[in-house]
Amino acid sequence: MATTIHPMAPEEYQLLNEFIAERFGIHFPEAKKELLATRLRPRLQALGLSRYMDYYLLLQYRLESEQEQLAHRVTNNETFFFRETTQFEALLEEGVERLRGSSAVPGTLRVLCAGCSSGEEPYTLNIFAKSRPQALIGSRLQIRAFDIDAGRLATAMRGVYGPNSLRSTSEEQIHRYFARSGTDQFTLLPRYREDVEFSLGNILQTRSYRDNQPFDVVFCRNVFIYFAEGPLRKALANFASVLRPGGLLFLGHAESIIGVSEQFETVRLDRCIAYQRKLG
Amino acid sequence: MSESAAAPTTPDWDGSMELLDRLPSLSLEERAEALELLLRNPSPGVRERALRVGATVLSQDTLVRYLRDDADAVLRNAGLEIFKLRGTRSFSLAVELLHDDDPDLVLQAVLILDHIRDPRALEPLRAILGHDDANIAQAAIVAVGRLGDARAIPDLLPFLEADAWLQMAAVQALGDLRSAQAVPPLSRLLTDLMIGPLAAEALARIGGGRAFRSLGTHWLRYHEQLDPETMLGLLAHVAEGLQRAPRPWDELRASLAERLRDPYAEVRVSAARCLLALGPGPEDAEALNLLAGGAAEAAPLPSCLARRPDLIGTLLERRKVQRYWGYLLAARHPRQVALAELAAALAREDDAQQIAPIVELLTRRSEEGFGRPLLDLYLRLPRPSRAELTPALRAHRQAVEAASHERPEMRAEDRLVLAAHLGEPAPAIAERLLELPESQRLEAVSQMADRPAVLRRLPWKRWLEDEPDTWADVAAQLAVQAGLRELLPALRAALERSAKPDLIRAAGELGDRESVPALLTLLESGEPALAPLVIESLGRIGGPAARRQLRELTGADEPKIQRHGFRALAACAIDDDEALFRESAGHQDWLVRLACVDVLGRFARPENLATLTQLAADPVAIVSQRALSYLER
Repeated sequence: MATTIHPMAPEEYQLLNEFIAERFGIHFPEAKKELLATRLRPRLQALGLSRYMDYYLLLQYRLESEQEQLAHRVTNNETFFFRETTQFEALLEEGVERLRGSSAVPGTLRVLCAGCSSGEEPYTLNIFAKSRPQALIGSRLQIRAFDIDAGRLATAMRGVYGPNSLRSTSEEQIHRYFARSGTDQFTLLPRYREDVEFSLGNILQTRSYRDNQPFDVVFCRNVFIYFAEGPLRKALANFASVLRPGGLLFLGHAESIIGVSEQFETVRLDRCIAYQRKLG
Repeated sequence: MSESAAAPTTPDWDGSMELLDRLPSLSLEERAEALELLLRNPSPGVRERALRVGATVLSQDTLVRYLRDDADAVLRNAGLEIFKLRGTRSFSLAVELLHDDDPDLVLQAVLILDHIRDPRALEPLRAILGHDDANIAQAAIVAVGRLGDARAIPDLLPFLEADAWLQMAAVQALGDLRSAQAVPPLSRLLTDLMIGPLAAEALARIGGGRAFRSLGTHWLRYHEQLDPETMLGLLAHVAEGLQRAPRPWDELRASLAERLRDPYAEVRVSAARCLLALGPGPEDAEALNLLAGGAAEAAPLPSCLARRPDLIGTLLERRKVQRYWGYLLAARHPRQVALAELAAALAREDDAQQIAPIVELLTRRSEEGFGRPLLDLYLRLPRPSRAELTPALRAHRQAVEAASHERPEMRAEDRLVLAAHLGEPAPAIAERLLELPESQRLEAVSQMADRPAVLRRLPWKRWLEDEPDTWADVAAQLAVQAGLRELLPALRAALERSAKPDLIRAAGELGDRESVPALLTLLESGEPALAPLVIESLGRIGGPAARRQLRELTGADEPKIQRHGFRALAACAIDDDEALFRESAGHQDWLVRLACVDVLGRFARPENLATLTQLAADPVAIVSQRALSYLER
């Protein structure tokens, strides 16, 4: 018999929301309470718990083993290849020129994709870079990407994708960058997987940034729209600490940090707005 | 404060957060002053919390003063937002302000009425539709539309001939009112460069055959100049809402078919929805693939398929979400799919996601012939999911039983659990469970949560004593799921031996007062991480011993223990505890203040109501809202 799960009470929502914001930064506004309940319900069902409070209490005594399950359910995995590519174009057309000469490591342009989900974003950037070698003359692009969800990272590392990830990818692009590996399954060609390194990481935890810093560019797109203000400030402080002065931060089109952080200033790159780590 | 020429300086973000946390401990006057500072904070989060507190703390006079403050836009906007937050409590004042001499205030009043959407606002708003100030008239037109009362339609139609500002408002309002009368005049506006897109949206909201014809004709005539994503989205929306399929329209079909290969996914999907809603056609297969491309695995049946029982067979042959839609469609039209077709689909099925629509469908079909495919499906599913098929199994019991006799290879425990799901009497099931080899018994028993009569007949005491590690979790979970208090002595004994979370939870869920000593021991010497769970269980159990301990925990040094102590004590509080909760109403932890609200609201005495009133101005919405709900009772 499937466990009957009680509707999520307001205090259960508030407690879980606080817990999730503290651990992952993500905030579910009141209007998204039902979304949170829906995402967690299968987990309660699997654990035989009838109340969301019981799940909150379980997180108190079983956080280590449950954290990954929770992250998988509350983080947003909405990503696909060739999404919002104008920023990649802007980086390669104008950004690289701006960064060249003062890059963190001479001859290398280091990019961090924070909150990379299943890898479509860093791989798209890599495809762009490898398809426009002239834009990177003298530099090698090195992409580090992390996400909190180990399951999605596994997909990223496998590099095998289905139609949902390729919904904005034309037949011609699929033919050029992927090899068919089954019904509705496509494997990204090795050439476009080179120079992209994935790891498990949390935007809020400084230890997630330890390797390969400082970076010249940080991409963190469509992550902050789900963040509470406190964690947003913390994440920006983390970015500022690993981005070299003059380095660029790219956020999603609907995201802005104007007035939130004094360590960044807005710059216009081609048709995009980016944020530049202040010099000095 | 608001009248000073230079606006006071707001604290920075950290200072504002600290001030918000301190608000519950401030007097009402001090809170009002603090709020005027917080309202100026650029952080949306800080401002939102300040507005919510303001909705409870600030007097009506203060808010009207804010609204009149031309020199201070922050306060004026805050006044408007707070009146909106107060909802219907702002109604009378807003109606009164409609007659104010200051047109800006009248406009604010209209916006408040628009926001709260109280049906009583219809007549006052109709009365100012002809206001001299175009901004007021425009806001009133929009507000009348949103009230959704068709009596206002004749008042609005003349505005379709007015100047553009009012015309746009009227188009939007007539769309909101779903006014069929407005279809002809709105159709005439479709070619207007400025109003046209709005008119198309309004027609789509009105819907129906005439609106569809009008939008379709417009698309065919001007598709090269129109935005295909918007127009086809609107057209699909109207087509899906039609009561019956429209007359064949080859020209439109051909135009939509071309768009199935549009470079933009949104356009392709809208064209697919539209074509499917129009009825059978050669593009069906391609359109279905497009529709399924971006859909989640258990997405609800798309509206464009609702009138397409002819597609059931096709969908059942597909995979994942398309097959899911096939079952949903078949459940909606149970007589329109042949038994053989359905049986073949079940024979292929191995996806637990599909169970719900299959059960819905099979409980509506009573003919023989489903036994074997249903049994096969049952056995292919993961064991924890099998019970979900129970309604379908029982609807086809004889056929499933007969099919099971033809499957000698079925494992004994699977055969037994199937018999339980088919409703075989409890004594026989219990007896057979005991005959199962031990290695298979646990698996079988754990699938019996829907058969409490079976569970009651099992030797739990012995099992829990002999093999606590094997049986404790299953026993505790089944006792909670099936409400088996008979298991409590055995569970209690197991809890005394081992602090398993499921046992702690079961003690609380089943309200077992005799478990309290074991829980108290756990609190003292058990795993610290389990303390919140133990405390919660004590609160669910209640009684003098639990309460005594919980009262102590409310004074614990560790904030986490303290907050859970308050919460648990609130669950079992008696009138002796009221004073403690009154004194704690200014606590800095919202969960503690919420516990105070719950207790003081339950024991509604004058002294408690005074504290509740204070809590109704809490900066945390859940606390203030619950306090208000108690006060309004």
